Amino acid sequence: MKKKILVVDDEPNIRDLLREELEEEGYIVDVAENGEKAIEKYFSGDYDLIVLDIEMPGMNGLEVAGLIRERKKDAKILILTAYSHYKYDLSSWAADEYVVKSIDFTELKEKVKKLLS
Amino acid sequence: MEKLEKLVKELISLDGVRLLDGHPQGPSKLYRVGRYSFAVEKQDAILDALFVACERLAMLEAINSFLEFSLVSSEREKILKKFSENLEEALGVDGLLVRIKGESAFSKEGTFEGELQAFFSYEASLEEGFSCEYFFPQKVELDQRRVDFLIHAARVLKCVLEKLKGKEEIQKLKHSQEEQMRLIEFQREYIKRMRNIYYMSQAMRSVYSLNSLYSIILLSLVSDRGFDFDRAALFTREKERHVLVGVAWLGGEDEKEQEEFKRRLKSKSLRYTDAVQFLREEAVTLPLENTLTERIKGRLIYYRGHPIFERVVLRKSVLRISKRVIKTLGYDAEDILNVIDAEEFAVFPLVGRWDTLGVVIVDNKFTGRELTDLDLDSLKLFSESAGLALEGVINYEELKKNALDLQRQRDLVEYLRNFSESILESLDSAVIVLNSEGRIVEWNKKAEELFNNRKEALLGKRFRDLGENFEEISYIAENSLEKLEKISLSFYKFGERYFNLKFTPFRDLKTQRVEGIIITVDDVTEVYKMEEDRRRKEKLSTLGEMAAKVAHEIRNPLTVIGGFVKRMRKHLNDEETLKRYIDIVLDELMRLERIVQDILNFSREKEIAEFSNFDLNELVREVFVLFEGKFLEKRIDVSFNTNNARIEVVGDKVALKQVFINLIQNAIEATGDNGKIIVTTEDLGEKVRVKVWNAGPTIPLEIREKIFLPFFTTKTQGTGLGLAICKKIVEDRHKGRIWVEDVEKGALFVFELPKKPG
Repeated sequence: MKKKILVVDDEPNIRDLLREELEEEGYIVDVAENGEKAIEKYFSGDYDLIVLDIEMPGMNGLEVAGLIRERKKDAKILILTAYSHYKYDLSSWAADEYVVKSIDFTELKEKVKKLLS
Repeated sequence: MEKLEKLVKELISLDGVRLLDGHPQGPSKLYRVGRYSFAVEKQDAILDALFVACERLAMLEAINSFLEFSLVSSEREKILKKFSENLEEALGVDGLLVRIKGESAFSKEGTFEGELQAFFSYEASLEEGFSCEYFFPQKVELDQRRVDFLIHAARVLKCVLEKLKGKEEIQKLKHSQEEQMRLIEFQREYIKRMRNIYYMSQAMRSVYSLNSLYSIILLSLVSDRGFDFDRAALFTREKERHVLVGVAWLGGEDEKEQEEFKRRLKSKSLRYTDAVQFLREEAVTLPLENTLTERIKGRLIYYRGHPIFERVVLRKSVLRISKRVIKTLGYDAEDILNVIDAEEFAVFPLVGRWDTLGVVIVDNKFTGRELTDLDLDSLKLFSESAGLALEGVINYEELKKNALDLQRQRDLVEYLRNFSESILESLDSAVIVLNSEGRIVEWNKKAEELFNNRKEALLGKRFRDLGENFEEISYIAENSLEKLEKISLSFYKFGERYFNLKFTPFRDLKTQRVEGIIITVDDVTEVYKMEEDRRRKEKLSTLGEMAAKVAHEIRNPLTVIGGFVKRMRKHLNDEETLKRYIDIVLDELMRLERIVQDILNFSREKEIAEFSNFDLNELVREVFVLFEGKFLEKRIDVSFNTNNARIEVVGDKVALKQVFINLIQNAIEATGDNGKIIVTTEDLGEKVRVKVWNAGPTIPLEIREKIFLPFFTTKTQGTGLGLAICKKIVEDRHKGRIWVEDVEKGALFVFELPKKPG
């Protein structure tokens, strides 16, 4: 069965890009444009993985990750961000993986695959 | 009971403890151990625990000795007699009569005189239906401990008497005696611990600097003269930020290092007979900088919501984190588990009178020795004692600081009158007093240090005769004296050093005659250097922040462009998809260009402004045309008001256009789809005022100040330079003013310009 991923990013172009890249890998991809919508969607759908940007208007990705982790201990959470300095920060404790945005999607795809296997 | 004698000797060797003979006097706190009474100078939780433990030990020993006796004797009468004697000794009373079912025994020679009912008594009735009455010739205070003891003794007595009836009970008795011995062992160990902690607390109380105190705390925990843990790490608490900050960690990095570390400590401790002295003196030379300390120094741990530290800091708990607990903690406590890589450890707070001031972690990583309940119990006592000492030192440092502030603020005359010369001498500020003729009458120790001369050689001399260096200061002093004005100088350069100087003329309080002037001098060279350093670092960090922000801003479009260009390769034959991708790429490239433009605009330093004469309203209309597409797309209602059809100004038109573009761009983003924007220009004669209002959210008070700072942004996209550029153009280039106005609805930016630059 195909795995379901929720991609959260406030930039439409990034969302489109991630959707196309991940769909090509054989996943079902849904998107949300901010933290609030992400949480609403995440808990009403049956997602195997959530991919979160950090900087978003309103709730940021780290807060979203924390909230999800609190409510669903075994959630799979991947942070995908342009910032590298949160990686070892305590605030990203809730994430399973942390990937820095890059033109090369190999790392992202590998981590997604690993989390979903 | 020679054991008791030994214990008593040890007790009176403690500082502040006195053995009393006869009746106690004075207000000191009293303790009893058997027939001995002690006075203690100051109430202390550790001494409390220590004496309670000693009293218990005396009681346990009494029972034990009775049990031993009863194992070899079978004469009921003698056994009862021994029982009453031992209890008399343990309670330290003057005679005790024990009665059970008509039988009785008196601890003294002879008989109990007088009516039994007239004496003070206690009846211990056991649930098993055995009752034992105790009679005392004098009034005896029976606290809970003594009552418990009397009940326990009755139970033992019952056992012993039952044994007399049948041999089979002897095993039970032996068992009971073994149990008793075990308790005594424990009690002895406990007393040893308490005594050590008392030494530690004495050592801790004797220091006045934070670093020495930290050293003593850590040394106490790892030394064989103290707790003998393998390693100990100390964190202090920063209450405002809700964090613990790593300070130092004592111990070895690996087994080899640990062995060496313990060996060195032991060889040092052997040189001292006095534990307090050992802790105090070795703490001074103890190297806290080591590879372990490096791992935690300055490290921040947020304790709120933390599975371990919230309980330790806020609930002041002493926690044992065992292997089992570690497993259940998982990622919630990973931050600390990764650092303290031991199978088991204990965490305890340093608790002052009101609040937790720090946290300590200890473990036995190398010996693997388990942390016992006794360990935890004694850590609890230690933590309070260490916390109080820490609070003391912190208060002392604050007191020192306050004393200096006070000295600056209060009338110095009053200050000098009330405080003795010795205080003047021990002040951290140099104090110089001149009389009304400008002659030196006081020159304290710190002044001697600062100016490198002796008081004796200076007294009576005129200040201005001290040499070239003092010329300026003496001139200021004379001035201050003449005008009776207080004068303060900050960061006054004196040779290679920087001083804060304060000149305070003073009068005789009764005659109101001017008596002289007090000059206080604080060496602030270090502060000056630090301040300089801070300014330099701040500049660097703004730069760093900018670089990070810019890198982030560029990375997003870069990811999109790269990603879609790669996708193009896969869709070379699909014209429609290709077109869509190209549009996206172009979109992102435009964004990149905007970012670059922003940075260039901001970094252009003092460019020669091209000032020209133009109509400000015309400029507004030009900018509106630029945004026409956006307004339509977002269905934004835009209006423009003015009080003069033509407002001629002289200014940098290109730059001012940028100001309008930035303000309107922000307004569009803030008000959103179906929003509203109003631009107003007002001709005020000499100057012109421009208002840009939008119906978006009001700007909170706390960010109004910061909003014009470079790289400050509440948006997730953009460099945070827009308003900084506006401020630069309006205020620096045009000598105008820009601010956020307080309005009930929406957000209003206002700027004013002089029509012609000054």
